[in-house]
Amino acid sequence: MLVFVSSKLLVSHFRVVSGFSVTKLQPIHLRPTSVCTSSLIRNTQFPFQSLHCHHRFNIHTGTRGTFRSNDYVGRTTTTATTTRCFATTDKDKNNQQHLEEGFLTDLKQQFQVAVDLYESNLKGIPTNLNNIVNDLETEVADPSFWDADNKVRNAYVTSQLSKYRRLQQRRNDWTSWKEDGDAALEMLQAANADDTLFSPEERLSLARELEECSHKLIQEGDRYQLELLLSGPYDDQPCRILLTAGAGGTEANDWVADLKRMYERHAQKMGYALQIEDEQPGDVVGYKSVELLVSPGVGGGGSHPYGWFRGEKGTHRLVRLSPFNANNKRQTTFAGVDVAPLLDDNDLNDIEIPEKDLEITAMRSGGAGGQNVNKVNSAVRIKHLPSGLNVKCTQERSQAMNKDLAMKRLKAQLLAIAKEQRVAEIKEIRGDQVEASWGTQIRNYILHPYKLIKDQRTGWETSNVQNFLDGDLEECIAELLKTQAKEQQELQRETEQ
Amino acid sequence: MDKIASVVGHPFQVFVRSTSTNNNNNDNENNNENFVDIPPPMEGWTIPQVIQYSIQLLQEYDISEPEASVQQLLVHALALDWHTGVRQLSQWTQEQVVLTPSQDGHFRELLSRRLHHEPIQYLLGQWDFLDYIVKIRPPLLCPRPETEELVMKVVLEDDVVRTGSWYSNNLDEINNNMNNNRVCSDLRILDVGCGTGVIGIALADQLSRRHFARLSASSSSPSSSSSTTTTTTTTNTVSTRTRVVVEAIDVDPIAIEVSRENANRLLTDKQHDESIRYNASLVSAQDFVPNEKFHIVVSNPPYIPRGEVLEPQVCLWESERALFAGEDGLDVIKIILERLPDWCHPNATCWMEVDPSHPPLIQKELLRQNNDVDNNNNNNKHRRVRFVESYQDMFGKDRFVKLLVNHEPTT
Repeated sequence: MLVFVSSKLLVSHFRVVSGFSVTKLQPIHLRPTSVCTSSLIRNTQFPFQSLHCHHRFNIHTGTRGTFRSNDYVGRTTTTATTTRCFATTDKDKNNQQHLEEGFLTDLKQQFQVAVDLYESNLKGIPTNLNNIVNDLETEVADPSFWDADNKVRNAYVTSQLSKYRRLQQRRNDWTSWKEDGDAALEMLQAANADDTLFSPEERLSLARELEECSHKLIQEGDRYQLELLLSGPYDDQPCRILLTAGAGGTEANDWVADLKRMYERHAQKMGYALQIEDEQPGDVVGYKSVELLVSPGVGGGGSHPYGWFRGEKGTHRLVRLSPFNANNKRQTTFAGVDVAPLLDDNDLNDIEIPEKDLEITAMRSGGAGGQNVNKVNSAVRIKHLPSGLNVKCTQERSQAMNKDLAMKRLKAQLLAIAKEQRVAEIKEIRGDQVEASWGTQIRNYILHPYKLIKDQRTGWETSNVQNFLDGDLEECIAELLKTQAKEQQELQRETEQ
Repeated sequence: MDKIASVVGHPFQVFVRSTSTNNNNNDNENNNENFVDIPPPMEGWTIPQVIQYSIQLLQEYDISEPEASVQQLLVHALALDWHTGVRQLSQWTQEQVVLTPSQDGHFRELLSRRLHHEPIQYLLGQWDFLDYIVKIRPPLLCPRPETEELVMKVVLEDDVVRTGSWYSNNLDEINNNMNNNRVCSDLRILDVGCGTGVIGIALADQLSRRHFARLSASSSSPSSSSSTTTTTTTTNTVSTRTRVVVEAIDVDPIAIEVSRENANRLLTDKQHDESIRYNASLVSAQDFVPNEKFHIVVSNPPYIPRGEVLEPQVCLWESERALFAGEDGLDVIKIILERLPDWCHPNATCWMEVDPSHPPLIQKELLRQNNDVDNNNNNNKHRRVRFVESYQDMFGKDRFVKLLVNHEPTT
């Protein structure tokens, strides 16, 4: 087990006495709330690798700090648990006095950041939220609401209600944290002025409370802001991820298998439900193509599947020493990732594609047809002529169902492209745009001669290749969402000017 | 091996049904032939081995769609899930799953039957039609994808359904019984030559799902209901009591049995709450006299002209009565055309799946029929059947016709 300190405030003051040795910690500079990436753990010379639990530390002078422990077994990093330690012994009176002053200012600053975030978040929430929820609840309570003929409205109201209730819950949480923090801060300030007001233990616990409030406010606020970025029209829909091996035979098939594993692990980590819809195995290893279905997790985790994954669309390039290559030479391979929202029939029915733009072929075509032949192959391929987009569907036994499914997928893809290319109408989509959205190389995975994963769009990079391939995509995707939001804002500003 | 090849499996052998007597002889010959060839035991083989060998075997015997056949039969023999089985199978290509003795026995039996051109639908006992799993038994016609198109055409484009004219047909009756709680407005559908029953069942389910949801939605919105409160109440009363009644007729007792089975299984809930009623009876189109008239008539009648060359799995197994209809394939269609006025409400529609050569012939036949009516029958009220349109299937063939039963003769 590895232990590291993640509080910026006190790092430089820390001295830790363990049961075995007394060592000074390396100062590590981290943001107060950031989760330490495992690369940091590895790069930092830690003396305590053999320690089993942090409460064996006896904190000497620093009075307080935050410990986090990571289980690091093989490749798996489990979620960090936070443990706070407060030293109550060995007080150097002067030193403590000095610390407490700086300490309070830092705490205050941190809390101010949290409060700013809280207030800016609060602005985005409708002020009449309670009324909205009440209105919806009244409607649901009406006995006729659940009548069969009310289904459309029914679904709409239920989803709205759960959305607003969640928002309400969130706002209440924030407010209560903020109020707690305010109170703690007030008392601390009073204590600072008058030493006799609280015992040192009480002051410590107040400081602890204040920090906890700021911490929660910032964490939840950041999360909320990230979710706000996922506000595209289809972002809350489930999505279909299609991984296709590029040229390169076995190596490319293996790369698809790696990507599949990466997305599976990531979905699991983020609380999404992931389902394998289709797999075409490769000739030797891996897959020629894999189709995944990502939907919101059961326990409320993993919201906005399409919004979260849509940035993964594009070409992923891998450079490594290929195990499938006779000379074990360095090889470059590609895999295509396509992400499309899984839309309601309601959304799709609005989309009209002129029949002349479609070329529908069935595997069974040719010959007399009708009662004259009895074929079971029901595959259907639909080609959208203006864009050259091709969708094939083979999974159903019924040809009509395959056609239906293929049409839905085609529409979903067209919609996604229209949105991406900022085209108002589907009929404006041209072939080169489709090409562009497919062919863009979005991320490089270089495993040799050095290790680096770099996102082409944001410049985000990591050298911790293994963790990334194990599904640690969160930072990379968050970065992309922020960059895209910024671009969007700039674009808007430009058009306004 | 030689035996099978000599009877059914020769690559260039064609199957012609020139006359019906000839056909019966053919059938008897086939039935009497006792095939002893069964594939060798495959117990302990891995799935890829089984697949590879079986595909080769089917190819040797020139069986239609060897790969799909093997996949479907294996899914059945291994008792895999109906919906995900084929995918599961493809996932085993790299694993060492081997056939157990009982699976092997089952699979070899299916495979040997397939070697005799038995349709896959019969071997599995069921197949998908739209999103319904339909039980199928020999010698009923296995539903074709064109028929799915026919059903969806009726659901989406039928005038009676779209305009709700069936409802106005019943309006007099409804107004008379306005204070009576037992008022109901049935949409009555006739399926001529129902076979497995899929058309009627799918239609009833789709219509009660799509249309009535829409109807009740529009009746509750203020714009569509007329200003008087009476009408509003009427509409509401009716929309909640609307029922789809399907009358299915066929000349094959097996068809009646199977279509009832399918209806009971697929429409359980809706039959229970009386939003759908399904009734199948053993009667020919010629002899059928309904108790009440219909708003929509649908049919996938036998329409193949005599003498056409069919693939073995069709002509050896599927009922001749469900496929062939006289010299030009119009025998049953003509009967339907004649009977339509007697069966139908005014402005009823009739949809049929036909041979691509038929639409012009049907137009001609209707012209003749209407002339007869004019010449021999002075009763102006006699209804005529008008040809509205023919539609292409997704393979570009003129496959469907839509007819309208008029109330008054048009000029």
